[in-house]
Amino acid sequence: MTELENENLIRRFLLGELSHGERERVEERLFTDEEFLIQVDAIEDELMDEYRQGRLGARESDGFKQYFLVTHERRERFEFAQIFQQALAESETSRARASSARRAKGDTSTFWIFRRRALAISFAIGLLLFASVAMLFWYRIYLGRRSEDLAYSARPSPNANKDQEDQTGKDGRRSPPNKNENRPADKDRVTNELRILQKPKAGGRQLSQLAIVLAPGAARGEGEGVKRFSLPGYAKSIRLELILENEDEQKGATFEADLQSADSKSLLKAASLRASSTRNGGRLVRFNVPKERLPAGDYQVVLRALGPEPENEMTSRYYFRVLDSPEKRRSN
Amino acid sequence: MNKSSVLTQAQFDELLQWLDHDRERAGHKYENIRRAIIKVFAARRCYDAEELADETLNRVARKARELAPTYEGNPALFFYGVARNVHREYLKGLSSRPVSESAKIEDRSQFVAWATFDSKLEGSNDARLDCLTKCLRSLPDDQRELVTAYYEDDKGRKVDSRKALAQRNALSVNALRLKAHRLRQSLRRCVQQCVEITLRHESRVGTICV
Repeated sequence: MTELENENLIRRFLLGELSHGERERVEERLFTDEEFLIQVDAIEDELMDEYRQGRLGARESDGFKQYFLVTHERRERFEFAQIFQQALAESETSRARASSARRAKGDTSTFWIFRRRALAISFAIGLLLFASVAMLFWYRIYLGRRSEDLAYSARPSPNANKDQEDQTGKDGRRSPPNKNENRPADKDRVTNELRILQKPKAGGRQLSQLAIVLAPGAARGEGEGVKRFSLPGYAKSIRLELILENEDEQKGATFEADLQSADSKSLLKAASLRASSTRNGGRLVRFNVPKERLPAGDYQVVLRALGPEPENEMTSRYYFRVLDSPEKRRSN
Repeated sequence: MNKSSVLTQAQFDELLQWLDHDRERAGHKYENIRRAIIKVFAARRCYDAEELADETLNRVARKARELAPTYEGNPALFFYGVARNVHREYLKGLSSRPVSESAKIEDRSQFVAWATFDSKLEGSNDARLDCLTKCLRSLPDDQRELVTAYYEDDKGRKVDSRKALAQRNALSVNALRLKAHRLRQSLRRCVQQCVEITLRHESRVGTICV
């Protein structure tokens, strides 16, 4: 029997509506099932409330008036039901008054929104979404800046030679490598990888051209201001971005680039190159070199600016060293 | 129906002993049986249900000594059997009376029933309401909220609101009903005590003034 059926049976029992057989079954349960007895008491109270509130049907109401209040105890409880309902109604009225007064004057409490759970949850989700988007933007900006910083750090710094000298002893011998010695190479590798990652995808495939930014350097020689980088296996070609620092160079209409080995042997030439603008307002010349032309070793690029007049011709040199690829280093 | 004579203390003790060896548990069982008998008579439309219940209890109590050693099963059901006999005798007694007299009895009982609570209400309603407010305040917050939410007039949405309340309190609807009812009973007892104390205090003040 469901709870509802049970409740209906008890109500009909209390109002004298059951058949003889049904009534005897309920009566027997009153003596053997204590919880059922309490349930009957509880439904008696509810009947009293419903009668007071005018919620009983005509038949139930008649049964209640004629037969229900036959015991002293029920009459006492019926009296209590009256004051109990009165007290609840008063507290309900005072609650409603307080609530409408609060609405009327406008709830100025700072955290009123949190009194409504649904609103509070929506607010929290909104806040979380906003924080996620903000984090994403920040990360993208940070990534971009870091890439640029690292890329432009490929220029030999004014202190580069000094740094190298510091690492070289007075007797000309290099001091033992310390743990910071490989940092520039690491930086370059990070730069290279970042640049590749930032390349737009074409047809869903990652472009695998590696861009290396180089600044002209006056110095030449092993370990002096030479930028070092490795070429990872996934890089198919190298784009050397040669920064123009001399204003006169920038006036040149076209450029010629010549990739040379350490012993100045020409390896690859390109002519009629044009300067492009960088995001930070500088100028550079892009020179594409197939990866297979750059095994590990020292290189220089001789960039010649060809002006309208022969006397305007200017030459800059860019030095760099290609290290073994990470894969090769691991296999060694 | 012949009304039995007054019960002796020894007979009452023997009755309790039969119900349970533990006197406290026996007292609890006795109260439950009495309530059940009253409900039986009330459902059978007997206007003096409490009197008939006492008659039933007295008859059983007088037999308790001889019953206890041999009776098997739940003693409460023996009370039910006796109650049915008492009811049969009650009906026989009613039918032997002239129609006018029995009708008068029923009318009188009903009148007395209604008159009693009407007169009582008028006299001490305010005091009782004050007491109820105090008693409600004395309940722990969660219990006060439960009992008021369960019984407040929700304009016909009782089934749904009680279901929701049961879910909030992780109870079945029936368990919630029993819990609310127990709280209501405790409030009723609290109000009774409070009114008695208030009336005693008022009568003392009255004496001093006189």
